[in-house]
Amino acid sequence: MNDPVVITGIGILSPLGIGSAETAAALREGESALSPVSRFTPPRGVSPLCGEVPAFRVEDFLVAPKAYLDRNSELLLAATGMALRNAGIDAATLAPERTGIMIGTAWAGQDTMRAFFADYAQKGPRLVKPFLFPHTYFNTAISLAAMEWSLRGAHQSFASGRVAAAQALIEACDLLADDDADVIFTGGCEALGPSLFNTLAAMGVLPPTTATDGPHIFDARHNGLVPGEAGVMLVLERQSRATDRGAPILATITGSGLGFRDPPQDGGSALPIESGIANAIFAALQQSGIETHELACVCASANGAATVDDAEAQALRAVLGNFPVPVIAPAALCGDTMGACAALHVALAVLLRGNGTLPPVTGLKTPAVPGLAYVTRADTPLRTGPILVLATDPAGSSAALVVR
Amino acid sequence: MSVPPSQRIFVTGMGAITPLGFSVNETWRGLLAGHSAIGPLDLFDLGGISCTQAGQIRHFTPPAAIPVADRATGFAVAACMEALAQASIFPNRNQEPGIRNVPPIALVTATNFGTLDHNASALVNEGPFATADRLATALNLTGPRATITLSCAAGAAGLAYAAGLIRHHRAARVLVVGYDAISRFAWSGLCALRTMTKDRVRPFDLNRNGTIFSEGAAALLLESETSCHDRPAAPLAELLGWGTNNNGFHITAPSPRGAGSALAMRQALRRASLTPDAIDHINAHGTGTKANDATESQAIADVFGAHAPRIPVTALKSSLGHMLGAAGTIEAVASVLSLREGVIPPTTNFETPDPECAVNLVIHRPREANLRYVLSNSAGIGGCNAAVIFANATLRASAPLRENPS
Repeated sequence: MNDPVVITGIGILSPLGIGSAETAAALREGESALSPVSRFTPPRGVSPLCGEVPAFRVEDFLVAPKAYLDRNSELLLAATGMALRNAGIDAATLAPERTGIMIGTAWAGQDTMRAFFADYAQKGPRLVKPFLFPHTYFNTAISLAAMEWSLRGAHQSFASGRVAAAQALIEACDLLADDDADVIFTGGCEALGPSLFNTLAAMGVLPPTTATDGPHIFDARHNGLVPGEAGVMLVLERQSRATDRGAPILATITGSGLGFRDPPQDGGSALPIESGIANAIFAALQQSGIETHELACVCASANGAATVDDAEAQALRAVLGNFPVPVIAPAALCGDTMGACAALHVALAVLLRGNGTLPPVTGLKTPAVPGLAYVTRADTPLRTGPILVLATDPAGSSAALVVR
Repeated sequence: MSVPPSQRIFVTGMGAITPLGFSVNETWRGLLAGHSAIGPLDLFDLGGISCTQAGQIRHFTPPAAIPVADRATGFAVAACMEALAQASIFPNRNQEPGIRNVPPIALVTATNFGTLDHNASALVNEGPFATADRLATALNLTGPRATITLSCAAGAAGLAYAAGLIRHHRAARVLVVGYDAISRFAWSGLCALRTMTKDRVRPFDLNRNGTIFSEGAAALLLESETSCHDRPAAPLAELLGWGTNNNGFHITAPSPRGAGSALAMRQALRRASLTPDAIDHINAHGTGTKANDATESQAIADVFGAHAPRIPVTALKSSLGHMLGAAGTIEAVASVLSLREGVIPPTTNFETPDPECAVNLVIHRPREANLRYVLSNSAGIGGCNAAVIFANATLRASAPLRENPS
């Protein structure tokens, strides 16, 4: 019997605001939340623009105070605590062994790693701080969240670049379908700090210093990504359980797909990234049992980097054909939240349904790939129907989810 | 979203680069012989640090055809190539025509520290997903790719994730590789946590007082039953059960009575539709630390009850050291070989029984046994646990499968 996976709670901290209400309001406004970095000095030679999460107090969401948390962990813990409240769940009533948590993060606690190793470099290996070391693991944030609320069931931590949170969401849906858990908290976190900013600058993916007007997503002038941070947690459970406990159902994840490309033939090259994205979309639509023309909107992960933007646009053009499905790119408003982007975009897709309008791809003037219904006006109506959420990593991984 | 029809999952290839040898076969022979991979660590200046022993890989040359920038990726790519070759998959373009055109293969990498090299130059220059991208490019793996970072449970958790991909028809073939290299970063941190012994690694021994870390990679290629029939591929074993969880207790200490480990074993048994009495052998996490071995023993007792005393247990970290992100996959490789060859490698360095570790430990020499189902345990910092269960490949075969000649 079909018992779909539904979303019954959202915890969200992003440049658009703290919590669902602030975030939904910011989406309605459609104004960019990007600004020059305020919490640290950015490296020279690149744009200081970024999407920072507004001030919040992690203590407001915790069960017990903590001696040390880095920003990545703070974002995830705050999102988890918020998601519990939003879902109307008292953690004490959950069956711990049937309650899982899965997240994605591309970079984890970079500043903790840097701080730990700074002691090694400056004082030697005997004088490193033992309490810092466990916080340098990529699974630190998820483990702390599991401990805080006794989420002792199914557990996975993905660090798969920009598709990390999408993989966490898809794995959670599969495990719930298999009845391996009652509830799975699923999301992602990414924190901006000097270390990550330096890394991204060194990778050459940031816009130049002269760029002051945000990323040029889907635009022929695309000149790099503007980084953003976020902590997002979704409460996933099967519809029957949500109904039994009288929980409001915010949305249903009706299908998902992971991208794969055909391998090289006769010494040639593997097919381009867009073929993998298209396969992910087809798989998600097939699992959802819907046709492309039924889509209300596509929420792309395009971030202002040509590799990702053009691949997603080409894939969408191939999949959508002549159907003018509106295409949005939240990174235009809040920056590229990297490993967390899929969780953030699924949450935004849920909130968009309440708004009834779509936010614009600000900065888009001349599409690099024409032929798609890019949303460029803030008052564009959102029609009824499922929303397709994409996640694409520049190295070739991709994923798609359908949210209804 | 409905539950798809069940899809059986088989291991069709394995590879390993360990301090005991640069192949599965070399490593296995070393394990059966009770050899030790532990010796002085001289990768970098230890700066007066008290932990001076390691399972350091020496004289290893990465495959020439594939340029690698760091030790960890070198280990991983070599292990992957061995696993693919055993499965008669040669995706590199330099291979002869006709056999390189395989369908998409998904890749799951599992690691603690990614490409963090012994000089820490890659500390924050790239995320751990960079290895997956390099491997996928080098080996022409065009399926989905994921990086699992569940500390020292990552290898087994990677197998669990890969199994889910196949079960849900998201991939027909998944190459899982656990890997890690010794680095200044990890070494100083692990030493600071006081997890390492200056003695030998003595899992389940009364006088155990810590583990010793090592490095390397181990890879397993998983294939759906359909893929095995279509290619055809020869199964080495069936991956029958898996589970992951978190203690929800403490960031570095195991939960009382190993409740998290016990749950992982129960999750795997449930997935495998087995009762505890079916398990014939447990390849333990067995780190040699006071806390792990006592709580893992209690977990085994709690899960297997009256059957526990008859189940032979081994802890291969006594020979190999603790291979971090590769621990789960190298122990999975050993579990598959135990199933196939009917022999369990010994736990070395064991001298004095500990009443708190009342497990049926295989010590001193290999033990022959007719094995049907083998369970392998993993755990890691952050309270992560994972367990996998392998079955004899032919035990539950619903149709004839090609016999593996190896």
